[in-house]
Amino acid sequence: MSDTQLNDLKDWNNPVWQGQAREDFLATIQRHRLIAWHVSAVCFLAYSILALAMSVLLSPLVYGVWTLLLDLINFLWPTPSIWPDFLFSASSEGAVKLSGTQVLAGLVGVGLALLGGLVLMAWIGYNLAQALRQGQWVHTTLSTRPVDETSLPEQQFKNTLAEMALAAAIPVPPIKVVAGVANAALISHGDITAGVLVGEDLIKRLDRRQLQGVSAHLIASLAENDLKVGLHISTMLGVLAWLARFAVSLMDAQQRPERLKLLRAVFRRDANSRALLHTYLLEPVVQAKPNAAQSQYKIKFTWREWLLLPLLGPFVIGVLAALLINYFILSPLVALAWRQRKYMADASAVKLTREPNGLASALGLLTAENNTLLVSAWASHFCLVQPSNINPSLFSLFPPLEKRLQALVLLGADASVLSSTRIASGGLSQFFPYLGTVFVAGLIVLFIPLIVQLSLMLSLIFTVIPFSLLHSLLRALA
Amino acid sequence: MSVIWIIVLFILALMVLVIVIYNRLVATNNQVSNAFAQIDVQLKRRYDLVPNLVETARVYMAHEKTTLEAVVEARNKAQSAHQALTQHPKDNQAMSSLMNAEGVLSQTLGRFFALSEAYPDLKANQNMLQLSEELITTENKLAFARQAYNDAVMALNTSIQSFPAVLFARSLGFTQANLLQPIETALERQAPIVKL
Repeated sequence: MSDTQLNDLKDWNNPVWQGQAREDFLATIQRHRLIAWHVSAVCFLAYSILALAMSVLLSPLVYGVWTLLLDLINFLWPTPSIWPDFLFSASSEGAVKLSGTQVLAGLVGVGLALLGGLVLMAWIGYNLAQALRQGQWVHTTLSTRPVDETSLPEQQFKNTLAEMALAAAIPVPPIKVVAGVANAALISHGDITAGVLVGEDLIKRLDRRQLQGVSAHLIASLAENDLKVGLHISTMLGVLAWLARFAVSLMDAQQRPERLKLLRAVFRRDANSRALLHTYLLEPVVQAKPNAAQSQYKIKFTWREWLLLPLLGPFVIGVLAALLINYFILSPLVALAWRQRKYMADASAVKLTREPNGLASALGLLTAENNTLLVSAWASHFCLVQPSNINPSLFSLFPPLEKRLQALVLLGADASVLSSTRIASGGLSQFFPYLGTVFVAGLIVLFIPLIVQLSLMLSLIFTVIPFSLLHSLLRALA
Repeated sequence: MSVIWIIVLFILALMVLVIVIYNRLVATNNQVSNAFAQIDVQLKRRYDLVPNLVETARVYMAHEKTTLEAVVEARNKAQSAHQALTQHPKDNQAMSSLMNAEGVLSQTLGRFFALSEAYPDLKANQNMLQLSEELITTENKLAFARQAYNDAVMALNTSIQSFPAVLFARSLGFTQANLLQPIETALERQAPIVKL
């Protein structure tokens, strides 16, 4: 290394690698795994809170349905009235007296009401996950072929993948080759059958040692269950996308085919449903006015939409809150988790090979040109390097290449892989996206009481009053 | 009465803990066995590849008869040592002989590949390229199989030595395994002679 390069290194905020300062790869893996786990736990907590909120919002509707059911059975068999109109009736002592049956029926009703929303959210999530598992949820539209056994470089890649699978004690994943792309990725048929997609350009550019580094990264990613974690996160985001689209289509008769497609997608697991769900994951928020000029479009309201009014409060308000939480809290956290998992996969690759220079030099050679492999932008984190069709954003799924190389240098790679371009120290500007998230989260917390009041008002108008009238009518007829 | 319930719950919790620890030790023990079996597979593969390699090279390296014969001899000795270990798997002497024989084979193969660099026709031969790649990958797989074995042994030993498994492991029949140590051959033990 020349004196100039050495001085450049010293100018950075990062120290020149010293033998004593070398980071243990096991400690690195543990550190990143912990951060990714914390973030995943927060995402799961957010989803649980959403499920609970939806169940609370849906509870008046479910309780009303339970009440009407008891009222209908009352025609054949005496059943207690559990609708809270008894609170307004006075007894001779001036106090409300409830029978044991009424209390029991009421408690069952409340339990069912709360469970209703939870079961619905769990059912939607389960069916979405099953649909994703049964399909190629991480795939490519490029034409693929198997490895050419007569080509030595492709043989070398296949062999290095087998070596790394042996080191990681996992089965060797099948390989598919794509013409002319300088990238590699994990692909999936469900969460069990995983495969590796690799571009011809990548194989041609790298030597055996670098191919081994790339194979180590892919196998490490597989062994650390990136695909399984990806499936869980996709399911969660898919449920939010599904709810958003359902809410948007609720009050417009022209959106009825969309509504039916949404219901079919979750409750019927066929190829069309899977394709539809993948589209929702690509575009979570759809325009409510398809194929029509904005000014000429008029919402159509029929008797069916009147019947769906009780769903207005829970779905629209719940989804509004969910979308805000998703875009301003969950998405940044998910992006953070994936960036940590990328560092973890790099460190795990070093653990497998015990040699960081192969992967470091390979990453240094792969540029952003001609490296788009996968269909979905949200699945880009399964690629080795960031695809060129992904626009860098505030909350990118990929850490910057320079930072990955820095991390590998800390694990013992040769510092010459780092470019001579100074890495921005970041300063306070690197915290702006997260400060923005905290600001929006604060706004959301302040607006939650308003959102809850709005939902209660909608529930009162479209659920409580109609059900009260129906209940009174049925009891009077009985 | 409440004291009895506490004792019963404590015993149940202890049983659950022992079951969890036992299952974890079984899983890590099986990983060690599987990793050791993988080493075996790669050793056999290497024995099968070496004769093909020597035959392909013999045409081009007619003057390197000594090296070629050394490779064949080292391979035969390693194969015999492997068969002896297969018949007596718990014999430490047989294991030691195998490790030594494998070390010598690796050394002679290394010398062979170094010499083959001087024969461009041999290097360009397609068969030779394929066989070289097969041997390189086999050597690497052997090394990574050993590494995976040592990693599995480390995980097993850590599980056995950690609390509370250390209280139950021996009584449940689990003992620590030995790591595979690198074997120095006679050639490696010699200090390199530097002539200035």
